[in-house]
Amino acid sequence: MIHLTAIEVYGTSDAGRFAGALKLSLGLQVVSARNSYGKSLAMTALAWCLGIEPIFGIPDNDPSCFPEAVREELELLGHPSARVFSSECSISLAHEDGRSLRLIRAIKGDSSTVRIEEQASGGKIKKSKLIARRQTMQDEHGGLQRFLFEWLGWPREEVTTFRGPLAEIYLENLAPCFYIDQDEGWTNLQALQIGRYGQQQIAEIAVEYLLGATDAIKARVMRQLAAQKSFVLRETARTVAERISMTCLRHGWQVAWSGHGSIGDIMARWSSRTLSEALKQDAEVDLTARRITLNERVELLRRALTEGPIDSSNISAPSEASQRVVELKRRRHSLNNELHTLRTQCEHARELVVSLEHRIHSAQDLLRFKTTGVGRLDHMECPTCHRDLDPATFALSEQSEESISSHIEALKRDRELMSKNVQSLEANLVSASGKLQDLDTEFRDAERALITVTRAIGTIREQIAQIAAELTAAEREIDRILEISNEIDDLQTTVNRWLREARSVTQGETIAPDLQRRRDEFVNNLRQYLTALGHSAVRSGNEALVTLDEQYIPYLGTRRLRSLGSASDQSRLVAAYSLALSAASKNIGGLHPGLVILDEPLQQNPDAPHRELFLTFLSQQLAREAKFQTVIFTWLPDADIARLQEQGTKVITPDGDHFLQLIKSPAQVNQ
Amino acid sequence: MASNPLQLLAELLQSGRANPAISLKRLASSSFYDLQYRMFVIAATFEIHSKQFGLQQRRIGAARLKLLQFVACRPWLMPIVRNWSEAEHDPQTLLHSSQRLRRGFIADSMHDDVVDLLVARNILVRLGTGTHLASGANVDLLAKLHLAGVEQELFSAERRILQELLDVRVTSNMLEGW
Amino acid sequence: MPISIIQEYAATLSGLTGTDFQAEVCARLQSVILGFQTIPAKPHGDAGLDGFSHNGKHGYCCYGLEYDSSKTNKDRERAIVDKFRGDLRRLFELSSNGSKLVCIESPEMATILPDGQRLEHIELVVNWFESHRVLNPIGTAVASYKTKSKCRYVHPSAVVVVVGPKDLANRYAVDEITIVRARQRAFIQRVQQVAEVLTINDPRDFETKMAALQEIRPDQLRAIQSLGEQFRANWRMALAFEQELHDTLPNMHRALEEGRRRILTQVSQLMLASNEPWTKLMQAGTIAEEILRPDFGKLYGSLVQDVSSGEIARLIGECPVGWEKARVADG
Repeated sequence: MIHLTAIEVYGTSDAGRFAGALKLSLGLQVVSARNSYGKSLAMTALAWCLGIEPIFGIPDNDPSCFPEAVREELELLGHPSARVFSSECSISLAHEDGRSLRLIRAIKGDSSTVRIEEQASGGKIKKSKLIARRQTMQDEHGGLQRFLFEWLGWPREEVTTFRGPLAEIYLENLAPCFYIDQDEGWTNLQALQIGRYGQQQIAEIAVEYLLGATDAIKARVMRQLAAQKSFVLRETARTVAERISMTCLRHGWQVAWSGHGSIGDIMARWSSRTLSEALKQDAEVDLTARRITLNERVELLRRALTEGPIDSSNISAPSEASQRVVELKRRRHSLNNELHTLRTQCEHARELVVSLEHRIHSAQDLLRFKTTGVGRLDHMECPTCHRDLDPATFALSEQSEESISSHIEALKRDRELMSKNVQSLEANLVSASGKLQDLDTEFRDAERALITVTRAIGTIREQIAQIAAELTAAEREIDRILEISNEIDDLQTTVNRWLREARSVTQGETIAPDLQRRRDEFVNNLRQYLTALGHSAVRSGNEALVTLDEQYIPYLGTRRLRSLGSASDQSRLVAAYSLALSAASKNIGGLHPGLVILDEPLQQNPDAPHRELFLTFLSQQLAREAKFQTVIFTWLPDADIARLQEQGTKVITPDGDHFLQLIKSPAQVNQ
Repeated sequence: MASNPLQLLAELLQSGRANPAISLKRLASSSFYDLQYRMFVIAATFEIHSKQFGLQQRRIGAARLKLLQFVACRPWLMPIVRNWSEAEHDPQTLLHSSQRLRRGFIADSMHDDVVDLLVARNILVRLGTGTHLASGANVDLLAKLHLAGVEQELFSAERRILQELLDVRVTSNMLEGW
Repeated sequence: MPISIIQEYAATLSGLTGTDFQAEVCARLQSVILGFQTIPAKPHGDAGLDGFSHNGKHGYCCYGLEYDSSKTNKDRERAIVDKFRGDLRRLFELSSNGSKLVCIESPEMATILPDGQRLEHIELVVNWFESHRVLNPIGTAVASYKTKSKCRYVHPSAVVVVVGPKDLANRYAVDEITIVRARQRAFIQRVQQVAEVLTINDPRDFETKMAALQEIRPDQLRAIQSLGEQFRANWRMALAFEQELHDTLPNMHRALEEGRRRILTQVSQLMLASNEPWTKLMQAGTIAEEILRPDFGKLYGSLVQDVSSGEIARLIGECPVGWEKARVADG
């Protein structure tokens, strides 16, 4: 554990050198100073020196988080508008093992680096310069965070991101648990948590890290990786299944090869049979058998061509060739018509789907419209004939909401029917187009064969020509079958690869047993702090109902604690959460740095009861004797300061009206 | 086995001793016949397509209103209306493209009933021989209807079509015979 | 001996329950008493009164006892007495606080009866009046209420009588219209009761129904698959036909919607009234054709048969008509 020993800000201006310093110690201390003193400047300096300015939502190395006073123009004694030439800040940290560290970073100047003064217990000071933000963790020689993590003895952990690649846990992910700034820190638990790095579940991970539950973090990350992989696998399965479906449809085969369902379902389905087996079972297509048959045919035709006897009196060759062409033409024409019909049907079906969707949309809008009550016509009589002018008189009616809901349900069923019909028609279109292409090829072959046969002179040549044409066609068919088989084999390889990847996805370990103990410690401390701080919904008696959910959100019974109590309870909740986390970590040997900084907790609701509750808390043993450093920046009237001091609470009341003061030269001092 | 599917179904269910399940509630009328819906479409048509008439009134041709609201409820007919408008100079194309649409909107008697109601309630008034409809004393209801729909982003397809129809020339020939 | 029209009306009336009974009584009284006014329960309740006449001097309270929940005569007597006591307390502006009666104010009564008017004659109309044992407790209650109440809306000398179906039937002439109306109510109530018993609770779609059919007849899978295809094809045709009407003949579309409703009503009426409902389903196509032919026959000729098949398929597909596996009896 560490604690802050000093925060300093200094610089040069046209009025001379200026500086401000705050000395801090272990345990609880309240820094009481008026508004505009510069308390927030000290707070910002702390974050700046640690290189965690991203928590303010600003770019790296951007000093705009500082007030202009320390960057541009400053009010100093005797110099109301002193122009700032340069400024920097530093923080000093002391480790419980005796080591100390001072971090110095320019505010106006080169803010990309941080100067380090590192001192071992009683040893020499070692100085170095580190990069504040760029590659801050990756740069093992120059990265500030890399250095800090090592100095603090913190393990580096990787977490999953929404974008894909893993990212590390950074100091700016952990700081929102113990650095509560005035502007936004009180609006929610971990209000300053970084979202733009895309780290998944970072708020939960930050809590677990500080509690020291690194095994739990590893298990969580493994689960997330497995879930990501599952998602990718499911998407891939759908794509593969679609490819298989389109390939089969192109050849006119209806094969059931779905990519829907859970990974387990898909694995079971895809492992149960190969694509070739599916082709055989569903479409009665056996490519191997066809190849064998074709090869046999080719062999027969070859023999017939090269050595077989030719019957010179057989005059059927030309008519057979012609007949074949005619038959193929007829089939092509029929298939063309079928395709045309399918296209028309598909178009009409799509139109119907569009109209159904419009009608569903209109009906849904009508249902919502009915809740507005606009357009309802009051009962009215015709002033002259006293006839009712109600809609019913004109054979018109308004439908009830129930009726419209039923109508919507019916339309949805119709839409489902037609959508499936469209899908089926589209599949048939693909299939028919594929068949037509194959038929075209056959037709062209048959036409060529016819030309050759009719040109041949004599019956023998005719027959030879016919056999040769058949042989060519058969060989071409073998090539086609081979091509298709290769396609199927490729798809099967893809399926096998998918299956291998699916088998390798592990679901991650179950919750580390250690985590529960740490969570329990956190919850127990949270209950104590909530009661001590006076949260109106949590009293001794019902504090046992305070629990934490999976995301470490506090609940009282079944309700979120955030939604209970008064507006000022929100700041109590944030304070209790931060303090409890530190206390729990201390008790179980977690990784919390051991300091909690609260900036203006009283300003969140300055009413008297709120102040009283807070002052009471500060006087309690729980606050005063905490085994970690708590620094509270606020303003207290003299009476409250005296009261706290009487009860043993340390209150720091810095001198002067402003944190930053002109440094007088020795000559000026003597004067 | 029976060739009539109902007969087959009946035989299967009878022999399987299935229980019938009838839900009269599940058969609901189309929301096209809801008065509020039709009033909204008329309101939107009037708001978008009516023209200034006199100092304080707006008016629209009765037949035009009928056609426009008919198409607004059926956005998929928009291409036919465009073709119809563009093919005005070509009698053959005109005949081919317009008949279905013309027959449809002319036969929309529910629209006539709704207009009668609106006229009876002084929301709209008939001008002259009824060729035009103008805003009546209670025309605010139509404006409120339209505004409610716009604010709540309802019936976006109908409103979009009505806007698109501003660019389509609806000629007297198209409305002829009504 | 042929049943008289009055006896039939009385019998029909006694078969009605709940709000249907109340609606029929009010309709009956409205048709025979000039100035009869029904009292809707909105917006804040009817203060115990279902109707009044004679300018607010006569009041009527109805109770259509649910026979299923009161099976024995004793149960029925108790239910009738409790119900009417409750109504009477409201009219007398009294509330029961254990065994004591406490005066309360009924703001609704002021909005119902004409100003300054008090009820002088109250009729308690009930659908079951087979036991005189209801008379004493009700009479005793009325006497007690009169002493405790401020009688702002009921005259201290008001008369309270119990009226059953026979009394109501005998009191005024029963004409054919009355009979038809009562029969219609009875039929609708019966159909609704049966439909509620039979309707599948979760909205099952067509695929689920076909799957259920496969479970019912696992030996006919191919036939069922083919049947499903045919229904889907007919259903699609019905949708296409409806779309065509919607775009080109909106009036015919309206006629089609009316026709569908009539088809479903007739088919369900046949099925529910029969011990062999599925044999009636076979007639659905014919029924549909008969209903649709007058409107569509001229324009569509022989196509009406296909249209009819399509509409039946659509009723099955969109699930107003469905089926479920027979439940196995316990024990």
